[in-house]
Amino acid sequence: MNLPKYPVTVSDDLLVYEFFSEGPRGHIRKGVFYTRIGKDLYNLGFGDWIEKLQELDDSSRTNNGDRDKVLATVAATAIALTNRFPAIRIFIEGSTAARTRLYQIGIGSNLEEINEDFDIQGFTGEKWESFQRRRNYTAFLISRK
Amino acid sequence: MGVLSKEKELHGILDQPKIIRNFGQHIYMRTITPKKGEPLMTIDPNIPDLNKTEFAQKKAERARAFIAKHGLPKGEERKKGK
Repeated sequence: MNLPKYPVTVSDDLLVYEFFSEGPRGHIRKGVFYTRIGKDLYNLGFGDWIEKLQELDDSSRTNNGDRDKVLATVAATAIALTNRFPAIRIFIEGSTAARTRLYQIGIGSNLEEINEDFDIQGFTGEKWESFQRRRNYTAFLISRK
Repeated sequence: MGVLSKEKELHGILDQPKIIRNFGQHIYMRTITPKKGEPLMTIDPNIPDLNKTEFAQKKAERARAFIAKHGLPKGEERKKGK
């Protein structure tokens, strides 16, 4: 995707990423990580780094005016990971319905481009199906074509 | 195959390693020439392993529980079991 994105720092194994969101609320450290939950199956985690807790948090809304750039950066980490490990499938579930909806909007806005290289399944609450716009999903599964 | 050679295979030519002096230690950071869709990436071997945080473990547990309850898409089950 040719959307603007932040440069990232990444671990050797490409499973952990960090970048800084820049906006009116300042310089906010973000973490993205992929945790193995099954064979070739990884959970995408994402949140703000809370320095005093030395922990990530995904419960707050940053409102730093760069939502699309942050989402594009998170998506780009998935591209980087699956470029290196094409068999990996990525499970995504937002921490809240609003966060899941945000992911859904991000995917829907770039669906044609994403579909060139990826299969995206959405869970409707009852079943998995190929991602379609204007449908609500509670989780997503992304894999390389 | 080492990480470096794997990167060369998949990402093409690596930029020159950047050596940063940090409190008397040399930290080697390498940038990867990004492929289509990738962000500009700098490999930092000292990046905190977020996968070891309680946050990550809780997220993984939640994901496992979701999949145990709802399964994976058809076709993906086969991939999972192969």
